[in-house]
Amino acid sequence: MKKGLLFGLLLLTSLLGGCNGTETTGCGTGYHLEDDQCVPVETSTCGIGYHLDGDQCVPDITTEAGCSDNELEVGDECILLTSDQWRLYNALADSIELTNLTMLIDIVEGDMTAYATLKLDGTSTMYEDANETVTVVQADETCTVYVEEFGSIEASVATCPDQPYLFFRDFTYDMFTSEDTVFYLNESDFSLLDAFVGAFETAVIDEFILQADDDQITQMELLMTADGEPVQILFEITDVNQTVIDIPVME
Amino acid sequence: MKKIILGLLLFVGTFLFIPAIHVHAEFLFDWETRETEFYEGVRHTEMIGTIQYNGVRTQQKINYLGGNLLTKNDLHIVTGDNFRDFGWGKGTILNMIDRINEEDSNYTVIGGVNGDFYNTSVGYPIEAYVNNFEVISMGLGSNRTVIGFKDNGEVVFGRPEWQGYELIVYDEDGNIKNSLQIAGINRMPVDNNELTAYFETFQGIIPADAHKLVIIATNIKIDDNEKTFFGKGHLSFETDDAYEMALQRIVIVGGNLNDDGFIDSTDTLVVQQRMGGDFEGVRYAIGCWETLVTDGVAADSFPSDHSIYRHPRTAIGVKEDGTVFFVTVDGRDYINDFLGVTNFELAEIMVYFGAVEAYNLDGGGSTTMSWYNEQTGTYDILNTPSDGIVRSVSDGVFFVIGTPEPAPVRLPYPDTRAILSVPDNLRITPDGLITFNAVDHASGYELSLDEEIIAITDPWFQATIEPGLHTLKISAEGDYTDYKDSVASAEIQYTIFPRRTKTILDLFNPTG
Repeated sequence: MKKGLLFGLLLLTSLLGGCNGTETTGCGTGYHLEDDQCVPVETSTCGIGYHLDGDQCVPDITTEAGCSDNELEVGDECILLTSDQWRLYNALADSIELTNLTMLIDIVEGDMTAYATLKLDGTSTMYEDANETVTVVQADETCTVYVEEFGSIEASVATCPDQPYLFFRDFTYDMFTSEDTVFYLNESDFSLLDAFVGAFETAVIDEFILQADDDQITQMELLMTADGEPVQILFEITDVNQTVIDIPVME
Repeated sequence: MKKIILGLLLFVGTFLFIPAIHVHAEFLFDWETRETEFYEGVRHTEMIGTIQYNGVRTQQKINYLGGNLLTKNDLHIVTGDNFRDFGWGKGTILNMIDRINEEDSNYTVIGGVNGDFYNTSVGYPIEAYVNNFEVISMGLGSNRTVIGFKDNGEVVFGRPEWQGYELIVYDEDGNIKNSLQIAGINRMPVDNNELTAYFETFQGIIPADAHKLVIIATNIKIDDNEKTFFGKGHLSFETDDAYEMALQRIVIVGGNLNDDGFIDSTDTLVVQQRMGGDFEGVRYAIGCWETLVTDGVAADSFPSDHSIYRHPRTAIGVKEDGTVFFVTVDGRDYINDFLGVTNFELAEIMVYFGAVEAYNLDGGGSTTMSWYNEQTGTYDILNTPSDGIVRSVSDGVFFVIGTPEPAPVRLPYPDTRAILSVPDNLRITPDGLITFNAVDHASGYELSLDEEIIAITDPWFQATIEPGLHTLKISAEGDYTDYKDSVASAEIQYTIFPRRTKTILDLFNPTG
């Protein structure tokens, strides 16, 4: 009778709380710990793979080492990621390391759209807009900078300029909230785009949207209000590991 | 005694402080209303009152339009017409104003009056007519007075010294490459040294064995009696063969004509009378008839009977200080008792307004004065035209505000000037500063910015240009004695980015 009562209590507890002693969280699949209790994930206001901690969504984490296929091991913790989060994680992980890519930049201000291209091939950098093409070739501690504009090319050797502004290298998957197939940068992480804001007297980021495939970031869209006027910037990353920069030939 | 002195002072004061009465010989003008307005340095005054001439009192409505060309540099007088490209034509003063405003971007008309007497069926003026250095007509031989206007504000009166026809060759810039005397019209040259011109009034074949320049005309003016010829066009071809004369063609014939090939198809060729004497350098001229005032004295006799009759009248006068003014007097208005004036009375009115020289223009139903209405942006007719409508006439004379295009400059012939180098290193910065390398001996530069030509003197120019794609090219300007203009540089294109866009691009530009 006692055994039967104990089993009944365990079963009831299991049904109510979904706890399962064999899981590292102590909860069953679809449940997570909240204040020492297993609660269904869907009761949280956070997205899948996140739960409320106080009034904030935090990733579901395990408390013991040894992560499952859907979990990310961070230190001695396992973090449960959704498939979208995994896609973003992988894309960002790959993008951070990228040294060969082409980034197409479209800037829409008023009724005018400006186009620019930034290329990196591992040793050289090339920037091109409607007026000029700047190619920076590094050799040891110095760089040769070729500026092609007004139909002629000028070359100069100087201290290497700063590395291209690849703002997305600081992104991590947990800075984004997914919606449909795109990812929105959380407002709390807009500070990563401070270089855009700091270029103006008054500017605010309105929205940053990122798209990625399984391997890399594919597109980004930054909407901002700069000195009172809306500006839309579209970034498209292409030719990853296939970008080749032609070094200008001086006549 | 005090009462006598007081009375005397009052008597004298009465004459001193009644400005409405002007006395000149037997002429009195007692105006009842007088309204004056100004626009761009031109004064318009309308006066209604009574004039008394030789004891005859008449009611008059007079409009005055005057401005000083010598003291206001951007005020000029131009002539206007409504002529067709081939032939003549008539138009109202308003037609002419529209034409000036539309076709000559240098000028905006302020106001003006009808001009010369004219052939009422065809529309050509009786006396000479010059428009922007083009001697459209030397007149029909009436021997009347011509009034000419020079760029410096000088006004000349009298009879031009007609020096014969000439062929003027203008280059693409409007400078005179050369001018050649035309010895005759519609006849062959008598020897190899002579040039003649054939116009379309010649019907037949111009014989072979003389060199010919066949010009496709853009403008031809010939009166019915072939007293005056004007033609303008571009070289079509040269030939020594016989040529059957065609409409809208001008043919220059001469033995050694264009041996050096200095005339080409890009040149503009003009055949017109050469004006000499005081009229040399006149840009605009118009004919008139009776002399009303000479040396500040009103004329007391006139060559025509029509001078003694009352009509609406138009006159032009010049004051001692250089002020040019037009006057119209209403007439034939029997309802309001404005019957008009005789030329004797008109002469006194011109003296009243201060004329030292004054001449009678066409009157009657032709009398029209127009003035720009600032409120409506249109042109008002100030007088009451006696036809009840504004009459179409031959030509008119107008005050305009603006800067005339440069006068043609005569280039050396043969032209041995050295060609200047092309300015190189043409650049523009994101904020619109345009720079290039200076060229030795250049008198200036001609910058083409989005096909607008800008004359500059220094090798830089700060442009105020909108974001977008812009095109630029530059050429060096020579002079008229030693150096020719350079050809234009290669065109460059440059995009001015909007300010915020440029700031963002600079984040990615290694040299930004």
